[in-house]
Amino acid sequence: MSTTRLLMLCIAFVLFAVSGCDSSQARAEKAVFYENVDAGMKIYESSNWILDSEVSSEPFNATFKQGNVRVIVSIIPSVKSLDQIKKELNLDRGYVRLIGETADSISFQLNEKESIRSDIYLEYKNDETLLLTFFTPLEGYEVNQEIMEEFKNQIELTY
Amino acid sequence: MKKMMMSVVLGTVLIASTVHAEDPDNNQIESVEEEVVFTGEIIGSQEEEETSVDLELINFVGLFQEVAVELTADEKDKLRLLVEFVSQSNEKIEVLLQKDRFEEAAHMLEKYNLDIEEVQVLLSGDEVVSEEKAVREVDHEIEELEGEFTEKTSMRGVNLQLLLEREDLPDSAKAGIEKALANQAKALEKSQAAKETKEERKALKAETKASKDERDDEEGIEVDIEEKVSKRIEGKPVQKKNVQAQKAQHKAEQGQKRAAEAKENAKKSGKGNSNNGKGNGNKPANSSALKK
Repeated sequence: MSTTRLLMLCIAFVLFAVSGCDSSQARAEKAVFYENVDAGMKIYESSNWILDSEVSSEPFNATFKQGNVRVIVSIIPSVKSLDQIKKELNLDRGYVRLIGETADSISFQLNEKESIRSDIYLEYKNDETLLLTFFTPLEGYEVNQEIMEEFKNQIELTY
Repeated sequence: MKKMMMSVVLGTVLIASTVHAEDPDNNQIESVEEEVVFTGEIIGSQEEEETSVDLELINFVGLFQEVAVELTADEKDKLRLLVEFVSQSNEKIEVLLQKDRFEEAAHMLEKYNLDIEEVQVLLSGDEVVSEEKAVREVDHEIEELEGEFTEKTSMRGVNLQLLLEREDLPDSAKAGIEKALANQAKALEKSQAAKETKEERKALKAETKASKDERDDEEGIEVDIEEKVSKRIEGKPVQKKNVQAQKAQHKAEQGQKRAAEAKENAKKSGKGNSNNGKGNGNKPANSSALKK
């Protein structure tokens, strides 16, 4: 009786260990291109993004770039609504032209002549806000859209 | 069993009665509390509507503005954005200082002062260009931006000078405020100079027209203008810029000759419209600086 129980427990343990091994292997396959343990975030390798500058750590703010796409990655230690972000940036003061808005994103044009487009995306995890602010030339936006989408999917909050 | 039932009923009644007895008091306290909270909310929301400064987002906002300006290549667009951002920071810093949030104000003042310096560099760069082009091309939009910039950096709501005397002001904020004051003075001086230049240009244009009517001699007109410019500029020697002075020195000799000619010409023409008492035309160096 007790031996079968012990055996079952052993099997369960082995299974658990194997599955753990598996998942860690899968993670290792995906190369991490940037990690900040204090901020609790990882960015997996994707099409040639490079770190532009690490600006501040509390809260975390850094910029990355790829070609003519620039992104500000901010991790805010509390939940911020899109309205709060809009207010802080004073987007209602007429220096930008709104392109579109959803519940957790907003797109606008920055300059009349050169047409810089900015897209802001909000994500929430464990009472934290991940704030992604992209800057791209309005021209050729469709091409860059894929690059941005890819970047968004490569970010993982680990905290 | 009966005993237990009895005690349960008795207990319930007892509890109910005590709750009931406490109720009115509780209600009163609660309602008072509610009122307090409510007024608090009203004040809070009113303030928020005016200007909000979220400490957690200060760095993000600063970075957003920095990247936006950096990616803008056109100088006028850059200037426009910077003036807008300076004006935004100006309002926020004012609110922070009014609320004695000095650490945050100091933090924002750093970027604010850098932005102001960048605007001043851009504006002075433009001035050299427009002065080279002399009277003809005046960029009204930039003049407007310059005026807006001066107005937006004035911080009417806070007396920075008085703030500096406060003992509880941290050093970081003190340094930022001192710099902001210096920048304000610079901007004011510049805008006054710009105003005078603007008036001079107007007067000059009118005079040019007048002298054209009077005479057909083109060379004479050119020298005449030159002389008038030199007279006007001399009237405000304090506001002259170093670059101009340096430039002027190089051309001093050349200018002196020309001015002498101009003086003679002016006498010949016998016009009295240079008698505004601003100068006597002895400083011809500037004339060439302004022309070239």
